[in-house]
Amino acid sequence: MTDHAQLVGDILQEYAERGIFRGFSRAPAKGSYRVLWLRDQLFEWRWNDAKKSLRITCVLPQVAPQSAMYRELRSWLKSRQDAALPDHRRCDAQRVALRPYNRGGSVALTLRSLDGDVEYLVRKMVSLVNELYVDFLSSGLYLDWQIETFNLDPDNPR
Amino acid sequence: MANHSEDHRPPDEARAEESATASRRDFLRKSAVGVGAAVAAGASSSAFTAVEKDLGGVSIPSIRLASDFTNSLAEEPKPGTFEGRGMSGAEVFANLCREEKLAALFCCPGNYTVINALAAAGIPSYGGRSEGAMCAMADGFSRATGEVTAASGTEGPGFTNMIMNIAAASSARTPLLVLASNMQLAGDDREAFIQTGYQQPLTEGIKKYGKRLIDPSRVHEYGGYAFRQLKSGVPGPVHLDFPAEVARARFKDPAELKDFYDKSQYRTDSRAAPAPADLAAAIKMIDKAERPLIVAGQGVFQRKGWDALRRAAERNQMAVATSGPTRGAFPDEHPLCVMAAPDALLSADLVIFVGQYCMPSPGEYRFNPEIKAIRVHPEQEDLGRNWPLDIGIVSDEALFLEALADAVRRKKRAAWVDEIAAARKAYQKQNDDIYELGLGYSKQTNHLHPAVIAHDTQHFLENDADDRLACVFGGGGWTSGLFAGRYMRAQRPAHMIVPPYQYGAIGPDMSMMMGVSAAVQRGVGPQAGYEGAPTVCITSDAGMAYSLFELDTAIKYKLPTITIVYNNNAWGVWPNAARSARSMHMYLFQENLRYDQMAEGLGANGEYVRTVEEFRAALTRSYKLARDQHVSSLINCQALKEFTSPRDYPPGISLNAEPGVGAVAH
Repeated sequence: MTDHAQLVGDILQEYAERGIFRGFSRAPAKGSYRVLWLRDQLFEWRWNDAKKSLRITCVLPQVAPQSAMYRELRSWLKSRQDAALPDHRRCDAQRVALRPYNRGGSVALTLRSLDGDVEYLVRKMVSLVNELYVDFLSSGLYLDWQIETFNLDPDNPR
Repeated sequence: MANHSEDHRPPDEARAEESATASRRDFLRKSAVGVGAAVAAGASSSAFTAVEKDLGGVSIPSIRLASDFTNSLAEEPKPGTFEGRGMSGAEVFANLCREEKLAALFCCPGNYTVINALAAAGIPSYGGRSEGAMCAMADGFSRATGEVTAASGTEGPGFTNMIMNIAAASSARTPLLVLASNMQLAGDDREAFIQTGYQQPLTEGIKKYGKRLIDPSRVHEYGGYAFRQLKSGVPGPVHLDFPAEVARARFKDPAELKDFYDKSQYRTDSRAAPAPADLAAAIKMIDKAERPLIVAGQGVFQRKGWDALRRAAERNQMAVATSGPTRGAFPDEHPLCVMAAPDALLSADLVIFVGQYCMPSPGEYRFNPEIKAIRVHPEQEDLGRNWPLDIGIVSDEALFLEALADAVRRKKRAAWVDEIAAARKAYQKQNDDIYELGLGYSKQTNHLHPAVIAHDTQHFLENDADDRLACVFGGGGWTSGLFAGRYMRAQRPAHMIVPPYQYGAIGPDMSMMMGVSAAVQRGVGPQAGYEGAPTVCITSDAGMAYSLFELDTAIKYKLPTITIVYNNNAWGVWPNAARSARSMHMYLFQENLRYDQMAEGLGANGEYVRTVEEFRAALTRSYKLARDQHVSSLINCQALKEFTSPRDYPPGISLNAEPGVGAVAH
């Protein structure tokens, strides 16, 4: 029987070995991983074997649940499953259920596998979060927010 | 709104429009004379705004060029020889520079022996108002041509004034020869008189190679060292400082000079070709890829590899993005170009970096994490830096692209081409929407929004100029530069330069574009065929403090520059003071400053505009003046600092996608 927690960790480690992540570790608790990645943030990933789901506990911090930004984010995430997108860009709704949660401003993102293809699930999560940072956050509406939230140098706000 | 500067406008006769639109041929014919002749034998020694005025009984003489200036430019070259008094060390060096085809020298007086020798040797030479700005001009000339240029300043103050722009040239990997005199070696540590300074440590980290010349007999040998560095591998600034003992030493016989031999013996033009196994591996990877993308960096421009790039890309339908401080090696409008199709970048599954000197890290380019990477670079030791490799290839950029174009199989990638077209359309719509918002904001406030300035400038050059390719454009400043990047497009090699590339200096843009203008005026490298064409620079009021005075230089040498100033009364980064009430004053200027009037005071055409209609009319006038009379203009676009703010005028400013049309970082 496949050890999915091990598989998820192996796939994530491959990204670290290719230089996509700047740091990676497997936490003592099985199915938990820590990834140093976009904006030099530490992302906590959790695999739930029973639900066949993968969650990043905080994909974006400091986004108020009632804010326009959160509304836009949910809408943007939905658009990533749009059937009009080419296969290589779409997060296929037949294979993956996608859901954001907002707990006190921390946005968590969960992907649940509908077809049991864990590798597809993990790779889609990596792509999705990457696009969230390079596409969704590229709007001028969020430049000041990023500088403040990630404590960026205003002259080098990436 | 009426033009606010009616009383200060240039005389009507100077504004007179030609009845017929000049063809490009006319335009080139008028510009075909060399700069010396153009100025010396040109229509007038008076500046554009030259009117003798009588104000309250006080007669104010007109601005004009001194006859000494025009006579000097008309002088024939007179290189040093061993005969008679012999050659000075400076003349030995100058003759080597001539043999090496040093493209131009930009300087302020100082380092007299060396700059006089270079001018006498026939190196095209320009003198201006500040060493920093002249250094930016040298950088601009090089960015527009790929050629080696020189900047010079006097011992201490002039040299240190150049530092910011040497650093900018270093970040852009410009083959810039930095020359500065030094006091006598005999005076070291004595602090004798003035301007003593030890220069080399000050350029540490911003040069490729540097040397204080000490032994006069080795002046030719070190000239060879300098050009070997400037013309080999990845370029970068080379800094030579000349103590008086070297510059003024005299030589009557070649035997008195060490290593006094031809350039073919101290450097080589031989280049590394890709190893067959490496090329085969790359082609195998391209075959497997569905959506390959070539990122053609500065090395492709530097090595003039644009024809091979196009051949390789079209043969296999690979997408192309260009990067670096010079743009247009692949036309932005080409169906395979993703410069204005940022969404397509995320779909690429293979990237081939060719001549990407300034290497981003994953996450800095808008790529999918799954993307595979091939990198082609002339120096092995840089392969693998920042971006992990799937294949690294040591090769000259042009030789690699030629080999690739010959070996890669013909392939149609219809789905990929369609995806790029859709992404381009989506980006166009996004930009059109922002422009419409900008138009609304401009009408609502009676101030010009930066999207309107950038969009309408591009529209003018594309549709209303005689020849859309007969112009070189550059954009800088924070807000102005980010918006310019969105709308301006490059369609031929060196059609556009990126003044803030990598280093992000605010201010040198205007001077840099004057250096570009000198290159265009002379038709050097890819500017051949466009002699005398205008250059257009969109920049900011913040930048004016660094470059404005060089309008004097542009006017003197009849460099037809058009500078469009986004005047928002503040440093573009003023939002950083928004939550610090006691800081805001440090970010603000006086409001409504009249850069147009300052330009007129320097002999240029000044325009003041606040509405879309005024802007378009001013741009048309400025273009005609540049084209027909080689007169520089400055268009002062009065704006509001709040246009930067997404709260007040959404969407505010945003960073542009990299790689792409507005990229400045890599």
